[in-house]
Amino acid sequence: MKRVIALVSVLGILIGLTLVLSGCKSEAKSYPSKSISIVYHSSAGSGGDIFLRNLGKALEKQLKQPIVIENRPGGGGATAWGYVAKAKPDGYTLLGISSTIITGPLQTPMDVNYKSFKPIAQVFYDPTVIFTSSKSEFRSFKEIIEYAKAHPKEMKWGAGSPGSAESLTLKYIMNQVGAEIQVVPFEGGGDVAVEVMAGRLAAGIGEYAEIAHLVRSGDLKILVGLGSERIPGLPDVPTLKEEGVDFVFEKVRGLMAPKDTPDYVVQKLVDAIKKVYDDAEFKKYYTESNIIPLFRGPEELSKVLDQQNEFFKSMIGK
Amino acid sequence: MGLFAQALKVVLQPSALLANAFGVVVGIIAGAIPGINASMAMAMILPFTWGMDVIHALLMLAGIYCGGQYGGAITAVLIGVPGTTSAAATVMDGYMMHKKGKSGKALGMALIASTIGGFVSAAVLIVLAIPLAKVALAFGPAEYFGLAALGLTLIASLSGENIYKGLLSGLFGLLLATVGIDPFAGVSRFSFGIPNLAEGLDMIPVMMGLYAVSEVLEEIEKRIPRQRIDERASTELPTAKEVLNLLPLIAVCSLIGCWVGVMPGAGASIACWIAYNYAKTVSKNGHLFGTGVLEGVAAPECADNGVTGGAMVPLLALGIPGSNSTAVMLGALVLHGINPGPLVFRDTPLIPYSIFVGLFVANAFMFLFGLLLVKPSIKFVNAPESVLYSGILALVFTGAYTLTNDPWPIIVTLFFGVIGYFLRKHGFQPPAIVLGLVLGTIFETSLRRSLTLSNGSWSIFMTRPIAAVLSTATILSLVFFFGKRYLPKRSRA
Repeated sequence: MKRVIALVSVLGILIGLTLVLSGCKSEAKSYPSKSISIVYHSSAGSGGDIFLRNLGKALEKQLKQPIVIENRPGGGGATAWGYVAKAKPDGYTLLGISSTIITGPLQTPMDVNYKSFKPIAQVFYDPTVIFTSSKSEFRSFKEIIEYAKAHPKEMKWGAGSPGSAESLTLKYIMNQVGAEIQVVPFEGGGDVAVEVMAGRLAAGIGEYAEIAHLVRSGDLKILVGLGSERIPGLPDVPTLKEEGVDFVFEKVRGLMAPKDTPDYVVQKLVDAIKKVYDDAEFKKYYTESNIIPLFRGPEELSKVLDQQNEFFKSMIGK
Repeated sequence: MGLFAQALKVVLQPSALLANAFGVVVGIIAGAIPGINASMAMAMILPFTWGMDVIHALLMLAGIYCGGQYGGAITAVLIGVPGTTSAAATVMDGYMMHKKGKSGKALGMALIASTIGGFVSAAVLIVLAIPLAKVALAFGPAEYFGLAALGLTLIASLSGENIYKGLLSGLFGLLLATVGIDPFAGVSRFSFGIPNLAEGLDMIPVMMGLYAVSEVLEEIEKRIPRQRIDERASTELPTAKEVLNLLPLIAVCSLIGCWVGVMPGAGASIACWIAYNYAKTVSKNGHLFGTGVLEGVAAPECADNGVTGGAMVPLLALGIPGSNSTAVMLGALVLHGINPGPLVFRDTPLIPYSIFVGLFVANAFMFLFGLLLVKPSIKFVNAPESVLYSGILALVFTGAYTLTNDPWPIIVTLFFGVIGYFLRKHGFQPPAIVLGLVLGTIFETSLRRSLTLSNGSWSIFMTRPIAAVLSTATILSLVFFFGKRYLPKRSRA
């Protein structure tokens, strides 16, 4: 027994020394020279996590270094964001973002928000859609809104949790068209889809990716998309703009870095990201997952986040 | 049947078997470590399945899923810490059996029950997957409320001697579940301005604190050096007769698990309590539950593996994952260009059927590896008290840290450890607290959702058929409990 303990401690010391020494190695000029972690605010297995794991795998091929996805859930996102905001700005700790980085800090007071980070790039957007059961009598967005206006507070619609991007945009749309509905909050789009299919809810709002297969199978139909353009593969679904509501919402998926990350690091990452869209495996993933490639560089991303922040801020008090 | 044979051929290829077996081993280990559960292990393995054939990838994930459901029982029995939330009910009798020295019987029973639960649910799936998809749609907020209410009646029977202390414990658990963002109003409740409380309390650190840390504190206080575990813990497995006697119970609880699994909003952490409650209500030994009876181990264990098959129904037939584990499987399917949902049975029927067959094989592997693990794992806790308890603390706090890679869960674990210690000392019931916490969220949201849908009318819980059955079962469960408890006394008097 004693011998085993001695052996283990010697091994431990050796491993410790190796770690310390490798940490001391002077930072090579060429970035990246070691593995990069991308921190995300929800647990392993969530939609955003799976996205990052796939993006990471495609980025690995470009950057020639391993990419590790680190899940730091908790605190409504604050755990992950606080961690990255305080991380060494050397490009080896990055942050994966979704629209929650805007809505989270608006809902719960936190020490961090999207402005605590340096934008790298938006990589994709998640199309948000309004859908109903295919058995529903409503054939278009206009029809369902007409009904809602004629029957105030009668219709029940499903959406994500109250402070979520979906709930807030739905509230905005209803204000715009002047209709009053009752919104029943759910944890996610899948739950809303079940309720809509079963006929307990008149309609729902959610990510297209979460319900795409149910649209294809003919169980759900999409009334309108919230993006600036029609969704690829759904040429018959109008956008909200085409239906007469001047509003666009595109859920951001992208990467940010600690505030003082050097520009050459950001540039290197931006260049690498631009190339991942052509990666055959990755392409297969994003096409199948129904998320739309949309590249926006640091300045543009920052602008989009500002806009969304203004919008959600104005909605949250209402 | 042709499809079934085809699937069998695919699943029994050596490489497919290897993937499946590897998954089971990873799952058992992940499940046994508190703080790491099957879905986390699955997410970590997922990127490595890219290059694999889709069926191999799914079999590996299904293996992790099944293995993880059993793995949680190992730590639940041996150190009184549920390795996964679905093993929380197993602690009740499993750990007591271990304390009485019947560790092998408890672990063996957990393994046999888990395996049968897995087999039953896979069989149900093969026969009923497509019709069950329609059933899944029938579960709305009113039904979830009924399920949660039925589960909560267990608080009464978990109360032990003093029913008031039991009810207070349950209420405390429910209260803990309200911490975090109000699911309807979107405002923060009871978070005292602490950002870490914004999302509410994570079940795992609370459970580890209440179960493990408080127990260790209690043991330290006793300071009675007990014998080494090899003198008190036997590796003897349950006899064939013991297993045969429990077969009817195991069959029913497996179906309960399967049924709860089909409901996309419920899951194994609820199924195990419903099954435990059922077993306690129908068993002749009901009053002995919580003191270390075999039924108390068998019921929750077969239910939580019964969930695995049930959970495949909403995943495959509707494309809606009911839990994190099935969400990862959805990710794997999507990654390989397969769209689960009503069309999967028409377009790529080999995929669902391979998963069904794969679940059978995974459960067989689980039984095999589980059996091999019984003796070494009992030997492992066969350490002197001081080593064992410091080992438990190290394991618990490491597990807490891995949850979010951040010290917060450690603080929560410690906090609830101290609370649990004082509550135990004064006769309150930590399991009732955990039950309240597990069911609190679903209880609240489904109640509020139902009442919104019904425009405030409570009749929704009686006019919808499944909800009515559950409401009635809830009431009967209470009547049974109070009847059993108070009637004999009166007749004696």
